Amino acid sequence: MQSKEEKLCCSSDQEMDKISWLPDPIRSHIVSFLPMKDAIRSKILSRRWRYVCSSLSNLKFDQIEFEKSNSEIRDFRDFVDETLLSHDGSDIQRFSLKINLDDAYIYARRVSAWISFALQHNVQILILGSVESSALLEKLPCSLFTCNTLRVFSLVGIPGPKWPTITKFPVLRSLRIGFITSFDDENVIAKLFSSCTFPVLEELTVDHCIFESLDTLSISISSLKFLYLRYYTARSSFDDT
Amino acid sequence: MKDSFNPSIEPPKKTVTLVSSDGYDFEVEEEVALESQVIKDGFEDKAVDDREYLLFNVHSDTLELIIKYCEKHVSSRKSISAAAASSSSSNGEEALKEWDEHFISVDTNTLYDILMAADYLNIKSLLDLAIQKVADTIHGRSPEQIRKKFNIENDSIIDPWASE
Repeated sequence: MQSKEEKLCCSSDQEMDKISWLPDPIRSHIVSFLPMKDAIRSKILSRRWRYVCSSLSNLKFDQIEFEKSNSEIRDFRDFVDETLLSHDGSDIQRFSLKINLDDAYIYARRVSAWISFALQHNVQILILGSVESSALLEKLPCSLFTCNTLRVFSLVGIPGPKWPTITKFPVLRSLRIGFITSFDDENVIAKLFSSCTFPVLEELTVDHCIFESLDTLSISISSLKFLYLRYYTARSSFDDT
Repeated sequence: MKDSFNPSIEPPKKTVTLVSSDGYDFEVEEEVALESQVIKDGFEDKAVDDREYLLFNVHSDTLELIIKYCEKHVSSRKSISAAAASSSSSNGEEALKEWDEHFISVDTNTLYDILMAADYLNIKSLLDLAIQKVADTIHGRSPEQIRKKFNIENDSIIDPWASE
Protein backbone atom coordinates (compact mmCIF):
# COMPACT_ATOMS: atom_id res chain seq x y z
CA MET A 1 0.00 0.00 0.00
CA GLN A 2 1.59 3.23 -1.10
CA SER A 3 0.49 5.58 1.59
CA LYS A 4 2.06 8.79 0.47
CA GLU A 5 -1.42 10.19 -0.09
CA GLU A 6 -2.82 12.60 2.37
CA LYS A 7 -4.52 9.85 4.30
CA LEU A 8 -3.07 10.59 7.70
CA CYS A 9 -4.66 10.27 11.12
CA CYS A 10 -6.81 13.31 10.67
CA SER A 11 -6.87 15.27 7.50
CA SER A 12 -7.36 18.54 9.37
CA ASP A 13 -3.90 18.08 10.82
CA GLN A 14 -2.51 19.19 7.51
CA GLU A 15 -2.87 22.77 8.56
CA MET A 16 -1.61 22.31 12.06
CA ASP A 17 1.71 23.31 13.45
CA LYS A 18 2.76 19.87 14.58
CA ILE A 19 6.44 20.42 14.97
CA SER A 20 6.03 22.95 17.78
CA TRP A 21 4.12 20.37 19.78
CA LEU A 22 6.71 17.68 19.55
CA PRO A 23 8.01 16.77 22.98
CA ASP A 24 10.79 19.06 24.19
CA PRO A 25 13.50 16.38 24.11
CA ILE A 26 12.74 15.70 20.44
CA ARG A 27 12.86 19.36 19.54
CA SER A 28 16.12 19.76 21.44
CA HIS A 29 17.39 16.79 19.51
CA ILE A 30 16.39 18.42 16.21
CA VAL A 31 17.99 21.71 17.15
CA SER A 32 21.19 19.97 18.19
CA PHE A 33 21.54 18.67 14.62
CA LEU A 34 21.69 22.22 13.27
CA PRO A 35 24.71 24.45 12.89
CA MET A 36 25.05 26.71 15.93
CA LYS A 37 23.73 29.79 14.23
CA ASP A 38 20.54 28.11 13.06
CA ALA A 39 20.14 26.37 16.38
CA ILE A 40 20.23 29.61 18.31
CA ARG A 41 17.97 31.34 15.84
CA SER A 42 15.25 28.78 16.48
CA LYS A 43 14.31 30.58 19.66
CA ILE A 44 12.66 33.43 17.80
CA LEU A 45 10.27 31.17 15.92
CA SER A 46 7.58 31.35 18.56
CA ARG A 47 7.13 31.20 22.28
CA ARG A 48 7.17 27.43 22.34
CA TRP A 49 10.61 27.51 20.75
CA ARG A 50 12.18 30.08 23.01
CA TYR A 51 14.01 27.71 25.32
CA VAL A 52 14.54 24.73 23.09
CA CYS A 53 18.11 25.70 22.28
CA SER A 54 19.00 26.48 25.87
CA SER A 55 19.97 22.92 26.63
CA LEU A 56 22.37 22.42 23.73
CA SER A 57 25.21 20.22 24.89
CA ASN A 58 27.47 20.82 21.94
CA LEU A 59 28.48 24.45 21.57
CA LYS A 60 30.64 25.50 18.69
CA PHE A 61 31.72 29.06 18.09
CA ASP A 62 33.88 29.83 15.12
CA GLN A 63 34.53 33.50 14.62
CA ILE A 64 35.85 33.31 11.09
CA GLU A 65 32.97 31.14 9.93
CA PHE A 66 30.50 33.33 11.78
CA GLU A 67 31.76 36.53 10.25
CA LYS A 68 31.90 35.03 6.82
CA SER A 69 28.30 33.90 6.87
CA ASN A 70 27.02 36.82 8.88
CA SER A 71 28.05 39.88 7.03
CA GLU A 72 25.14 41.68 8.67
CA ILE A 73 25.42 43.56 11.90
CA ARG A 74 25.55 40.60 14.25
CA ASP A 75 28.54 40.69 16.45
CA PHE A 76 30.39 37.51 17.25
CA ARG A 77 30.97 38.48 20.88
CA ASP A 78 27.31 39.27 21.42
CA PHE A 79 26.38 36.01 19.80
CA VAL A 80 28.55 34.03 22.17
CA ASP A 81 27.45 36.07 25.19
CA GLU A 82 23.77 35.70 24.40
CA THR A 83 24.05 32.01 23.75
CA LEU A 84 25.81 31.35 27.00
CA LEU A 85 23.47 33.63 28.89
CA SER A 86 20.43 31.71 27.75
CA HIS A 87 21.94 28.31 28.47
CA ASP A 88 20.09 26.37 31.13
CA GLY A 89 21.84 24.45 33.88
CA SER A 90 22.44 21.36 31.79
CA ASP A 91 25.92 20.07 31.16
CA ILE A 92 27.95 21.08 28.16
CA GLN A 93 29.49 18.06 26.61
CA ARG A 94 31.62 19.74 24.00
CA PHE A 95 32.72 23.34 23.77
CA SER A 96 34.63 24.53 20.78
CA LEU A 97 35.87 28.08 20.44
CA LYS A 98 37.85 29.36 17.48
CA ILE A 99 38.62 33.00 17.66
CA ASN A 100 40.61 35.61 15.90
CA LEU A 101 42.90 36.96 18.57
CA ASP A 102 43.95 39.81 16.37
CA ASP A 103 40.45 41.15 16.68
CA ALA A 104 41.04 43.99 19.12
CA TYR A 105 37.59 43.56 20.56
CA ILE A 106 38.11 40.05 21.78
CA TYR A 107 39.53 40.60 25.20
CA ALA A 108 41.44 37.90 26.94
CA ARG A 109 39.24 38.34 29.96
CA ARG A 110 36.12 37.83 27.95
CA VAL A 111 37.43 34.68 26.33
CA SER A 112 38.46 33.50 29.72
CA ALA A 113 34.92 34.04 30.98
CA TRP A 114 33.51 31.98 28.12
CA ILE A 115 35.87 29.15 28.88
CA SER A 116 35.02 29.37 32.56
CA PHE A 117 31.38 29.01 31.66
CA ALA A 118 32.09 25.76 29.86
CA LEU A 119 34.16 24.54 32.78
CA GLN A 120 31.39 25.32 35.23
CA HIS A 121 29.06 23.21 33.11
CA ASN A 122 31.23 20.14 33.36
CA VAL A 123 32.62 20.30 29.86
CA GLN A 124 34.20 17.08 28.66
CA ILE A 125 35.64 18.11 25.34
CA LEU A 126 37.27 21.50 25.05
CA ILE A 127 38.66 22.79 21.78
CA LEU A 128 40.35 26.17 21.84
CA GLY A 129 41.94 27.74 18.86
CA SER A 130 42.85 31.03 17.34
CA VAL A 131 43.73 31.75 13.80
CA GLU A 132 45.79 34.88 13.69
CA SER A 133 47.88 34.82 16.73
CA SER A 134 50.05 37.76 17.34
CA ALA A 135 48.14 39.03 20.32
CA LEU A 136 48.53 37.35 23.63
CA LEU A 137 45.84 35.57 25.43
CA GLU A 138 47.47 35.96 28.73
CA LYS A 139 45.47 33.96 31.08
CA LEU A 140 43.33 30.93 30.71
CA PRO A 141 41.08 30.40 33.70
CA CYS A 142 42.87 28.66 36.54
CA SER A 143 40.09 26.15 36.97
CA LEU A 144 40.93 24.79 33.53
CA PHE A 145 44.18 23.35 34.80
CA THR A 146 42.56 21.26 37.46
CA CYS A 147 39.37 20.44 35.62
CA ASN A 148 38.06 17.06 36.63
CA THR A 149 35.57 16.53 33.83
CA LEU A 150 37.79 17.21 30.85
CA ARG A 151 38.45 14.15 28.70
CA VAL A 152 39.67 15.80 25.51
CA PHE A 153 41.53 19.07 25.36
CA SER A 154 42.94 20.83 22.36
CA LEU A 155 44.80 24.10 22.58
CA VAL A 156 45.92 25.38 19.24
CA GLY A 157 47.50 28.66 18.27
CA ILE A 158 46.98 30.42 21.53
CA PRO A 159 50.33 31.90 22.29
CA GLY A 160 51.92 32.19 25.65
CA PRO A 161 49.32 30.74 27.95
CA LYS A 162 50.45 30.95 31.53
CA TRP A 163 50.55 27.46 32.90
CA PRO A 164 50.04 27.47 36.62
CA THR A 165 52.53 25.51 38.66
CA ILE A 166 49.80 23.21 39.87
CA THR A 167 48.13 21.38 37.05
CA LYS A 168 46.24 18.17 37.17
CA PHE A 169 43.84 16.71 34.64
CA PRO A 170 42.51 13.63 36.42
CA VAL A 171 40.42 12.22 33.56
CA LEU A 172 42.07 13.72 30.49
CA ARG A 173 42.63 11.09 27.81
CA SER A 174 43.59 13.13 24.82
CA LEU A 175 45.63 16.33 24.70
CA ARG A 176 46.72 18.34 21.72
CA ILE A 177 48.96 21.35 21.96
CA GLY A 178 49.64 22.98 18.67
CA PHE A 179 51.13 26.07 17.09
CA ILE A 180 52.30 27.51 20.34
CA THR A 181 55.52 29.37 19.89
CA SER A 182 56.19 30.73 23.30
CA PHE A 183 55.52 29.40 26.72
CA ASP A 184 55.44 31.79 29.56
CA ASP A 185 57.50 29.71 31.88
CA GLU A 186 59.27 26.87 30.21
CA ASN A 187 60.36 25.40 33.51
CA VAL A 188 56.74 24.55 34.09
CA ILE A 189 56.51 22.95 30.67
CA ALA A 190 59.65 20.98 31.35
CA LYS A 191 57.88 19.26 34.22
CA LEU A 192 54.45 19.27 32.71
CA PHE A 193 54.27 16.01 30.80
CA SER A 194 54.21 13.59 33.67
CA SER A 195 51.85 11.01 35.06
CA CYS A 196 51.39 13.28 38.00
CA THR A 197 49.66 15.86 35.83
CA PHE A 198 48.04 13.45 33.40
CA PRO A 199 47.31 10.20 35.25
CA VAL A 200 45.21 8.64 32.47
CA LEU A 201 46.40 10.41 29.32
CA GLU A 202 46.47 8.08 26.34
CA GLU A 203 47.05 10.35 23.40
CA LEU A 204 49.39 13.32 23.26
CA THR A 205 50.02 15.52 20.27
CA VAL A 206 52.58 18.26 20.27
CA ASP A 207 52.35 20.04 17.00
CA HIS A 208 54.42 22.94 15.67
CA CYS A 209 55.57 24.06 19.09
CA ILE A 210 58.75 25.88 19.90
CA PHE A 211 60.36 25.60 23.28
CA GLU A 212 63.12 28.14 23.06
CA SER A 213 64.97 27.77 26.26
CA LEU A 214 64.34 24.11 26.77
CA ASP A 215 67.14 21.62 26.34
CA THR A 216 65.09 18.53 26.68
CA LEU A 217 61.41 17.89 26.52
CA SER A 218 60.69 15.16 28.94
CA ILE A 219 57.56 13.09 28.62
CA SER A 220 56.95 10.48 31.26
CA ILE A 221 53.35 9.42 31.20
CA SER A 222 52.84 5.78 31.92
CA SER A 223 49.32 5.55 30.50
CA LEU A 224 50.36 7.01 27.15
CA LYS A 225 49.54 4.93 24.07
CA PHE A 226 50.00 7.39 21.23
CA LEU A 227 52.49 10.17 20.98
CA TYR A 228 52.63 12.49 18.00
CA LEU A 229 55.40 15.01 17.70
CA ARG A 230 55.34 17.15 14.62
CA TYR A 231 57.64 20.02 13.78
CA TYR A 232 58.47 20.44 17.35
CA THR A 233 61.61 22.23 18.36
CA ALA A 234 63.51 22.16 21.53
CA ARG A 235 67.17 22.88 21.48
CA SER A 236 68.17 19.30 21.29
CA SER A 237 66.37 16.00 21.48
CA PHE A 238 63.73 14.65 23.77
CA ASP A 239 63.30 11.86 26.24
CA ASP A 240 60.44 9.50 26.20
CA THR A 241 60.09 7.33 29.21
CA MET B 1 14.47 -17.05 22.62
CA LYS B 2 14.58 -20.67 23.51
CA ASP B 3 15.44 -22.76 20.52
CA SER B 4 13.84 -25.84 22.02
CA PHE B 5 10.45 -24.37 21.35
CA ASN B 6 9.89 -24.90 17.68
CA PRO B 7 6.51 -26.24 16.63
CA SER B 8 7.11 -28.47 13.65
CA ILE B 9 4.06 -27.35 11.69
CA GLU B 10 5.35 -23.80 11.48
CA PRO B 11 8.16 -22.77 9.18
CA PRO B 12 11.22 -21.73 11.18
CA LYS B 13 10.54 -17.99 10.78
CA LYS B 14 8.94 -16.77 13.95
CA THR B 15 6.59 -13.89 13.70
CA VAL B 16 5.13 -11.17 15.84
CA THR B 17 1.89 -9.31 15.33
CA LEU B 18 1.86 -5.56 15.50
CA VAL B 19 -1.51 -3.88 15.78
CA SER B 20 -1.82 -0.30 14.63
CA SER B 21 -3.85 2.37 16.39
CA ASP B 22 -6.61 2.01 13.79
CA GLY B 23 -6.84 -1.72 14.36
CA TYR B 24 -4.88 -3.29 11.51
CA ASP B 25 -2.75 -6.36 12.16
CA PHE B 26 0.72 -6.57 10.73
CA GLU B 27 2.53 -9.84 10.95
CA VAL B 28 6.26 -9.37 10.84
CA GLU B 29 9.29 -11.50 11.42
CA GLU B 30 10.55 -11.47 14.93
CA GLU B 31 13.94 -9.99 14.12
CA VAL B 32 12.25 -7.15 12.27
CA ALA B 33 10.10 -6.29 15.28
CA LEU B 34 13.17 -6.46 17.49
CA GLU B 35 14.59 -3.44 15.74
CA SER B 36 12.40 -1.57 18.18
CA GLN B 37 14.15 -1.29 21.50
CA VAL B 38 10.81 -1.06 23.26
CA ILE B 39 9.65 -4.38 21.86
CA LYS B 40 13.05 -5.90 22.45
CA ASP B 41 13.11 -4.88 26.10
CA GLY B 42 10.07 -6.86 27.17
CA PHE B 43 10.32 -9.58 24.56
CA GLU B 44 11.80 -12.40 26.58
CA ASP B 45 9.14 -12.11 29.23
CA LYS B 46 6.25 -12.37 26.87
CA ALA B 47 4.64 -15.75 26.27
CA VAL B 48 5.49 -17.13 22.85
CA ASP B 49 1.86 -17.47 21.78
CA ASP B 50 1.18 -13.92 22.93
CA ARG B 51 3.53 -12.04 20.72
CA GLU B 52 1.09 -9.35 19.84
CA TYR B 53 1.79 -5.69 20.36
CA LEU B 54 -0.85 -3.01 20.40
CA LEU B 55 0.75 0.15 19.18
CA PHE B 56 -1.75 2.75 20.25
CA ASN B 57 0.29 5.65 18.98
CA VAL B 58 1.10 4.36 15.53
CA HIS B 59 -1.32 4.61 12.64
CA SER B 60 -1.32 1.84 10.05
CA ASP B 61 0.08 4.12 7.34
CA THR B 62 3.03 4.96 9.51
CA LEU B 63 3.46 1.44 10.81
CA GLU B 64 3.73 0.16 7.29
CA LEU B 65 6.59 2.55 6.61
CA ILE B 66 8.28 1.66 9.88
CA ILE B 67 8.11 -2.03 9.07
CA LYS B 68 9.48 -1.39 5.62
CA TYR B 69 12.40 0.44 7.18
CA CYS B 70 13.12 -2.27 9.73
CA GLU B 71 12.89 -5.05 7.17
CA LYS B 72 15.31 -3.26 4.92
CA HIS B 73 17.76 -2.68 7.72
CA VAL B 74 17.63 -6.25 8.95
CA SER B 75 18.23 -7.66 5.48
CA SER B 76 20.96 -5.13 4.65
CA ARG B 77 22.78 -5.86 7.84
CA LYS B 78 22.77 -9.52 6.96
CA SER B 79 24.10 -9.00 3.46
CA ILE B 80 26.72 -6.54 4.69
CA SER B 81 28.04 -8.96 7.29
CA ALA B 82 27.88 -11.80 4.77
CA ALA B 83 29.96 -9.73 2.38
CA ALA B 84 32.38 -8.92 5.17
CA ALA B 85 32.67 -12.60 6.10
CA SER B 86 33.53 -13.60 2.57
CA SER B 87 35.80 -10.56 2.50
CA SER B 88 34.30 -9.47 -0.77
CA SER B 89 34.02 -5.74 -0.90
CA SER B 90 30.49 -4.46 -1.04
CA ASN B 91 28.94 -1.06 -1.20
CA GLY B 92 26.17 -2.25 1.10
CA GLU B 93 26.51 0.60 3.53
CA GLU B 94 26.52 3.13 0.74
CA ALA B 95 23.45 1.57 -0.83
CA LEU B 96 21.65 1.51 2.47
CA LYS B 97 22.40 5.16 3.03
CA GLU B 98 20.95 5.95 -0.34
CA TRP B 99 17.93 3.85 0.43
CA ASP B 100 17.47 5.70 3.74
CA GLU B 101 17.71 9.01 1.98
CA HIS B 102 15.02 7.98 -0.43
CA PHE B 103 12.89 6.47 2.31
CA ILE B 104 12.84 9.62 4.40
CA SER B 105 12.00 11.91 1.50
CA VAL B 106 8.35 12.27 2.47
CA ASP B 107 6.02 15.15 3.12
CA THR B 108 6.25 17.01 6.41
CA ASN B 109 3.33 15.30 8.08
CA THR B 110 4.50 11.83 7.24
CA LEU B 111 7.94 12.75 8.45
CA TYR B 112 6.45 13.94 11.70
CA ASP B 113 4.52 10.68 12.08
CA ILE B 114 7.63 8.62 11.44
CA LEU B 115 9.52 10.73 13.94
CA MET B 116 6.96 10.20 16.67
CA ALA B 117 6.68 6.49 15.94
CA ALA B 118 10.44 6.02 15.93
CA ASP B 119 10.61 7.81 19.25
CA TYR B 120 7.75 5.78 20.69
CA LEU B 121 9.16 2.48 19.49
CA ASN B 122 12.69 3.60 20.26
CA ILE B 123 14.33 2.82 16.94
CA LYS B 124 17.41 4.95 17.25
CA SER B 125 18.73 4.86 13.70
CA LEU B 126 15.34 5.78 12.31
CA LEU B 127 14.85 8.52 14.88
CA ASP B 128 18.20 10.02 13.96
CA LEU B 129 17.39 9.74 10.29
CA ALA B 130 14.07 11.54 10.72
CA ILE B 131 15.54 14.17 13.00
CA GLN B 132 18.34 14.82 10.55
CA LYS B 133 15.74 15.25 7.85
CA VAL B 134 13.80 17.82 9.87
CA ALA B 135 17.06 19.58 10.72
CA ASP B 136 17.96 19.66 7.02
CA THR B 137 14.61 21.23 6.27
CA ILE B 138 15.23 23.95 8.85
CA HIS B 139 18.88 24.46 7.96
CA GLY B 140 19.56 27.55 5.93
CA ARG B 141 16.05 28.94 6.05
CA SER B 142 15.12 32.24 7.60
CA PRO B 143 12.82 32.13 10.64
CA GLU B 144 9.99 33.39 8.46
CA GLN B 145 10.54 30.60 5.95
CA ILE B 146 10.65 28.03 8.72
CA ARG B 147 7.39 29.30 10.18
CA LYS B 148 5.78 29.04 6.80
CA LYS B 149 7.15 25.60 6.11
CA PHE B 150 5.94 24.15 9.41
CA ASN B 151 2.89 26.36 9.92
CA ILE B 152 4.36 27.85 13.05
CA GLU B 153 2.47 30.87 14.27
CA ASN B 154 4.66 33.61 15.57
CA ASP B 155 3.06 34.33 18.91
CA SER B 156 6.05 36.05 20.44
CA ILE B 157 4.97 39.02 22.43
CA ILE B 158 6.39 42.14 20.95
CA ASP B 159 8.75 43.63 23.44
CA PRO B 160 7.02 46.79 24.72
CA TRP B 161 10.36 48.28 25.66
CA ALA B 162 11.91 47.81 22.29
CA SER B 163 12.57 51.12 20.65
CA GLU B 164 10.80 51.56 17.33
